[in-house]
Amino acid sequence: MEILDLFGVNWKLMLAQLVNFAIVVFVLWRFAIKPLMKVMEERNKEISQGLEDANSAAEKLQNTEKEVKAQLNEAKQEAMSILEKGHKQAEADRQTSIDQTKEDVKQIVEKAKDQISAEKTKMVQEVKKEAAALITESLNKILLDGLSKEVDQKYIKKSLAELENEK
Amino acid sequence: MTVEDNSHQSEQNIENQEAVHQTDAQAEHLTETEHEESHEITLYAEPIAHIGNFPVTNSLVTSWVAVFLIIILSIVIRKKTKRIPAIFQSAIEIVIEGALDMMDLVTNDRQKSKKAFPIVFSIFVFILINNWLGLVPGIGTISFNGHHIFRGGTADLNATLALGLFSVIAANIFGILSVGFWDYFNKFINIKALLEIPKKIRKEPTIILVNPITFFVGLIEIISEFAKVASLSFRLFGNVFAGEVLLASISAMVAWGVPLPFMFLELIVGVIQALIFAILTLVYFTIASTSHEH
Repeated sequence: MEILDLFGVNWKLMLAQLVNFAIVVFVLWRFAIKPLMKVMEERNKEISQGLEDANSAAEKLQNTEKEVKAQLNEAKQEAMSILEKGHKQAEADRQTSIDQTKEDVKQIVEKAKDQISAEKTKMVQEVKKEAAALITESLNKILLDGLSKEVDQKYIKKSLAELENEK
Repeated sequence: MTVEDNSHQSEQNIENQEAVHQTDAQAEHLTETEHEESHEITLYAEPIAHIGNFPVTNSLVTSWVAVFLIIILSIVIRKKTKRIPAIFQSAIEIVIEGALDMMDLVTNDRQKSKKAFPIVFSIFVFILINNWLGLVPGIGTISFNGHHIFRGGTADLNATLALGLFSVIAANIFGILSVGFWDYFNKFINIKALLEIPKKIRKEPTIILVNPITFFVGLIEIISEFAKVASLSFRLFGNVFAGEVLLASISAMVAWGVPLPFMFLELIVGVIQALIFAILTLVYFTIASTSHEH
C-alpha cells in the first residue's frame, strides 16, 4: 500500500516496537505494579484488621469494666453481711458472758452469805458453851470458898486477873 | 522531503529542458541548506544505521531509551517498595489508585479493571514517556551524517501502528477469553441471528427483517475493528508529529522564548494522547468482554 510506504511503515520496525512494548509491559508488571499492588492490598487488609481488633479490644475493655464493677458490688455486699453477722455474734457473746458473770456473782454472794451465817451460829453456840462452862466453874469456886465479901472480892479479882492472863 | 521533491519533479515535467537544469540546481541547493540547518522533518522516521537488513531508525532509538528509562523506574520502584511507604512510594500509589478509580468509571467493575490494568497502564506509561522524550531539547536536533539521531518514538507510524494493532488484537483475545469463542464469533458473523429466524418466525414475523439487519451489523463490526486500529494509530501519530512540526517551525521563526508556551502545550498533549490511547484500549477491552445479547 502506497500510503503505508509514505509513512515508512515496515513490519520489522513494527515488530521491534512491539518487542519494546512487551518488555515495558513485562518489566512494569513484574517489578512495579505487582509488588506495589501486593503491598497495598496487604496494608489495606492490615488496616481493616487493626480497626477490627481495636473495636473488639474496646468491647472487651467495656465488658471487663462491667465485670469488675459487678464483682466489686458483690464483694461489698458480702463484706457488709459479714460485718453485720460479726456484730450480731459479738453482741450475743457479750450478752451471754454478762449473764454468766451475773450468775457467778450471785452464786458467790449466796455462798458467802451461807458461810457467814453458818459461822455466826457456830460462834454463838461456842460462846454459849464457854459461857456455861465459865459460869459453872465460877459457881463452883464461889460455892467452895465461902461466901465472904473478902473472898468474894478476892476471888473475883483473881479470876478477873486469871481471865486477863488467859487472854 | 518526498512531497517537495514530487512537486519539483512535476514542475520539471511541465517546464522546458533549460529550465529543468535551473530548477534542479535550485532544488539541490534547497535540500542541501535544509540538511545543514536541520529544519526539515520527514513523515517517516529516518534510518540511521542498518543491522543486516534491519533499519535502525531514530524513532526506534528513542523508544529504546524510553524502554531503558521505564526499566530503571520499575527497578527503583521495586527497591523502594516497603510496607510503610515513603513519599516516593506514596506518590506512585496515588497514581495507581487514581488510575484504577478512573478505570472503574469505564468498566464499572473493580475486578475487570484490575485484570486490564497492567496492559492499559503500560500503554499509558510507554506512550507518555515516548511523547515526552520527543520534546526533550536535543532530540530532533542532534544530527549525525545528516540524519537526526533521535526522533520521538510515537512520531513514527510504526510505533503507533504496532501499539494500535496490539491494543485491538489484545481486546479481541480478551473478549474471546471472557465471553467464549462461539459468542464472540457471533458478534461479527452472526449465525445465531440467522438460525433464530425459522424458530421464531411464527411468533414475531418481523424477525425476518430484523435479524438479517443484525447480521449485516455484525459484518460492519469487522470493518470497525480495522477502523479502530487506524484511528488509534493515526490519532497518536498525527498529534505527536504535528506537535514536533509545530515546535520546529516556531523555533525556526523565533528561537528564544516564543516556543516555550508551545512546549507546555505539547507536554499536555503528550499526557492527553497517552490517556486517550489507554482509555480507548480499556473501552475496547470492556466492549469485547461484555456479551452481545442485551
